[in-house]
Amino acid sequence: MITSYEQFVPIVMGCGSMLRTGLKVRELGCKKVLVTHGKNLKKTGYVDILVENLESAGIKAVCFDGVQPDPPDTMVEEAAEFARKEKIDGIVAIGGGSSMDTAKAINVLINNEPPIIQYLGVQKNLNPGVPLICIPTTSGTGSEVTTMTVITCTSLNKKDSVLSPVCLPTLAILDPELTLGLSPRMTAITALDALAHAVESLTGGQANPLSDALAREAIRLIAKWLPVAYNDGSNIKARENLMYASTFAGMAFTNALVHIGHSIAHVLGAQFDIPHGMACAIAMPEVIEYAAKTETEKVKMICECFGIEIDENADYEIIGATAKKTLRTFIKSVGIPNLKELGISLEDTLNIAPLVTQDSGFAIAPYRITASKVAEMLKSAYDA
Amino acid sequence: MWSKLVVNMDNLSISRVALEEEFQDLGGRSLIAQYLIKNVPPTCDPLGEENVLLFATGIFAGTRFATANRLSVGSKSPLTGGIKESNVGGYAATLLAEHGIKLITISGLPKDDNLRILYIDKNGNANLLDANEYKGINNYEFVEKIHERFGKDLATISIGSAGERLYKCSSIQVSEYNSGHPSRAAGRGGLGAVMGSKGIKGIVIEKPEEKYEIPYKDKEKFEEICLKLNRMIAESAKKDPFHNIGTISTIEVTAPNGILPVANFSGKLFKDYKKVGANKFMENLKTRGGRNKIPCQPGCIVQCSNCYNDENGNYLTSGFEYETIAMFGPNCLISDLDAIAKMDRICDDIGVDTIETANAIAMCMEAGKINWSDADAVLNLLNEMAEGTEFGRLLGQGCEAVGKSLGVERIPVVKHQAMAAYDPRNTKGTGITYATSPMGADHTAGLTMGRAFDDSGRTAQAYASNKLQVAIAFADSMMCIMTFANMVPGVPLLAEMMAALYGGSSDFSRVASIGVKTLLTEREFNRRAGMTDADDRLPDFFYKERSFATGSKFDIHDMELRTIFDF
Repeated sequence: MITSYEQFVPIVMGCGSMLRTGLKVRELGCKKVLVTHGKNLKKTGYVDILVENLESAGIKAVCFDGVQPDPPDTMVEEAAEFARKEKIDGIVAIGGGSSMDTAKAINVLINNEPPIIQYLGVQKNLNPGVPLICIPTTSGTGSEVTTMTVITCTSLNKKDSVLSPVCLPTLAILDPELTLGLSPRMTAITALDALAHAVESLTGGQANPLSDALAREAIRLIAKWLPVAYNDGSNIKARENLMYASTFAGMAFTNALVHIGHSIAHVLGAQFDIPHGMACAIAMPEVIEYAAKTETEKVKMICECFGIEIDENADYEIIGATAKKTLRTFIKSVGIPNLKELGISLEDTLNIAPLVTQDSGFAIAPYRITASKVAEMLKSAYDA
Repeated sequence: MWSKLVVNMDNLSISRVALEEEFQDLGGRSLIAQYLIKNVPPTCDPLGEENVLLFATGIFAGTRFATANRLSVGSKSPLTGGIKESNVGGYAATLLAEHGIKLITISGLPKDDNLRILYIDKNGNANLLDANEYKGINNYEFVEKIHERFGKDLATISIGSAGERLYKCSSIQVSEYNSGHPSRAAGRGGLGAVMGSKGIKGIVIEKPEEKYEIPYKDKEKFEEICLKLNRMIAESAKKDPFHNIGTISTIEVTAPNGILPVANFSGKLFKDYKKVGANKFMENLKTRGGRNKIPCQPGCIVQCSNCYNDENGNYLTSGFEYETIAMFGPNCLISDLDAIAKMDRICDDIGVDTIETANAIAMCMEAGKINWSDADAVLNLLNEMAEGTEFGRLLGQGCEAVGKSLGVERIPVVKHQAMAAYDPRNTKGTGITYATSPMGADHTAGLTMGRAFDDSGRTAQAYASNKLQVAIAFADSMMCIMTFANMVPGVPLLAEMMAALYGGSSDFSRVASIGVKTLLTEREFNRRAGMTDADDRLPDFFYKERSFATGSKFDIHDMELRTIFDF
């Protein structure tokens, strides 16, 4: 099989690396940048440090502090209008996925007319934007290295993505110290989002040797360090490894793409308001068991990344069952509830199966499955 | 109420009855699938008395919807041994709809060797006329004689000598609107042989004196939606290369990307493709008084047909298409457009499928019987088919028969039917369609080119093939797919139009379920005919040999093929 690895973002990484931002932005030739962030981040003091760092390097900074979770199209259009008016020549995003995705959407609209909704899907011919620098403060989305931005379309009441080179950051700065304050719950949810990126890109139809290597390393790091960070949020080594894991997983999936696990997560998120990382984890064991039928070797790799030895003669059913059990034990160990524990009825759960098959991620599934098979997966995950 | 013309060749009887209630709101491919599974034993001999030959008009036949008057021909295929629906443009379906006929069924076998014409006069009376005087003549001459005898205000559906000889690659030719040329082919699957087996040389349909009044449920609403869709199609067609040039424009995309088959699907690029490309085609039209933008049926806005003249400016052929040019051209290493046009003319005239025939010719080149690039040798072989020599008759049995007979290992067929002009390694979704379509290797069943992430990659190919196969199955029931391609944003309106015409639901699921049900019915017919999963695979060489243009093999997992129709 001939595959390709095409997306790559230069990365500065290590504790304290946020303080390189000023110099790097100056190297990129920017004179005035827009800093995007959410209101809560301001309280941590990181935004002030970043702005001071930029200004000390001779760069003017204006802030858009109105980033909302699951960025609505109306909000990014307002921010883009502000950016155009301020005549900025660079964007620095600091925060989780929402802040980075907002910055990406602004970058799309800098030189392309609104509304953003017209650019949903794969866009190959958008006008380029300005240099975009992403500084994640969670270890999950991988948005700092991906070509996509997820936007909530307020008129359609659904989330969708713009995929474009304009969304690909010019530089990612990975400073693990920024994640030290994350709660155990947020640590688990975000890391499981990264784990979902890794296991799905490893088993997806567009997987390639480089994305596989990145995905495997991400799984190994998360398997080892998420339990440590979950129990001791101040462990900087664990924070460091989780941050790299989420970036590796982001690099893997922006090239190899994710599939049914994310289709299920999108619907669970939309129907029951379950946080994305948690929604990704809920049926992940079943999705990987399903993938074992065609992606047997890849699922074997997942088991091995968790330190499980697989017999050489094991068939896809044994490998799939082992992966399912391993993933479920891991997910439960970091406090992720099942759908029953979340108070959702079995009937409501099974009813979403047809919606899952309509999600765009379904197109890239390893092989086609019916809504009734998706319902079987959901039933298996329901009270597991 | 739509009617059905029932022709029984056992006793030479004809009756006109109301079409069954359950079939009233079906048409084209969907009607054929449902009719065949209920009325034809899937294990029957395709050329025997149990097989039935069907001619069906579409769901919107007789309305003003663009290309609503496409004709579907259906039967058990002598070539594939499975179900077959082959659809065609031309004038016939328009006139059938004006007569209020949605379906013609021709069953049984005549007890004698006489040839007959099914003649539908201007008053809607149908008769079987003696046609022995036309025995052995080919389509162009047949149409000329029919015009001399009955005038020109009619449409013809006919077979040439190939159909009479029961060639498995024989086509049924339909006359084009205005010109009357028998250049529109229901080409695939050897349906001409089924017509030949029933002793029917042609069907002649006079324009009726009184047009059948379509019983619209809500005519005003129908006209409103129809106008909206027709405008959308007209607007989109302005930018469609099929309108501005013709289907030959496809070669400009396929040739540089290794999708165009070259030298029997060798996977190589063909550096001379421009000699048979769009510019050369347009230049020849311009300098010789040819034309493009010709509608093959009344009311078509896409107008992808053409009239191609020889170097002296005399009419040579029409409906000169990409598939024919690609398969007789680059796939045989021939880059002489005029020679290919002559081949097209012979195929239309004797009534054979250009795709099947050109692939059979490529087998002769692969085996060394004739040389690659030798257009004269190809024309000689086609003349052998016309004359019915021993080798000509072998050619008439199609690509697989010729390949096997000559000891060729690389035979590009699925379900015994030869592939069209897309290399399945470099448009893998099309390869999935070739493998899994109940019709055999048929590009019109779901051509995914440009619709997945990377034509030579695996991602989303099965998804694209599935979605397109469903869409085409319902589109084949209501219009020409060239029109369909120009109205994709308006697809949900098709359900509203069905509701305005027939009543019932206006939900899109009504239209989608026509596609799904048709595919599943066709698969069930094939299963009962004895086909298995093994019939849903490409020939080995596509899995083993790399395309030299891209390095790609057909590396689609069997599980993706096995689950393609899990709905």
